Amino acid sequence: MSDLDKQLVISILQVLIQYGPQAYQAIMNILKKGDPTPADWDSLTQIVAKNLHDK
Amino acid sequence: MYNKKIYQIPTILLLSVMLVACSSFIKTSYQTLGTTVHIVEAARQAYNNVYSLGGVSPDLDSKISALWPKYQDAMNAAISSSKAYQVATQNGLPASKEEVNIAIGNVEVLVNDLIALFSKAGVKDLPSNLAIERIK
Repeated sequence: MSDLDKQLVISILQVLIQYGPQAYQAIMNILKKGDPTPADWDSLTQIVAKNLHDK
Repeated sequence: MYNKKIYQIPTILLLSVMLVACSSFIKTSYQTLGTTVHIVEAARQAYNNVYSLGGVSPDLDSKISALWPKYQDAMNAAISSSKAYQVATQNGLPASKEEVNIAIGNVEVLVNDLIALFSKAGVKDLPSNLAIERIK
């Protein structure tokens, strides 16, 4: 990992810690993943399927 | 529950796209779409907070309600085209990156339209224009 990549990772961590633990964890999991599995794609589809006013 | 502080959305997206720019095509596609899905989900929840407090006019809510399924369709199409690309390449079949990027372009337009309406509804400090980088 280059110095630039390390700086970007640190910046992401700083921003996402403020952003909320659930979003932080979800986005970091995505960024850490290798090639996605069908289940990974399905989990995105499930989020997208929520209605506008769902809790 | 997502935090209401969603003004960092453009920074997150920009950094994420820069970070993954050199990864494999399908990994980059997943990371780009996945990050966007979670960002829009956070914005949706922030909008719902404003809505539940009675801070959204019926007219504006109807516009957002009309746009929401279009975003869902566009994002599902982008996810489907990425999955199809992945399956095809894993099986040694020809696959088009262009189709995936066209689908991502459609998502970008609708995400920006949604964010503009969320901003009108009182969700503060959202970006005026998100640029979702096409994947190489």
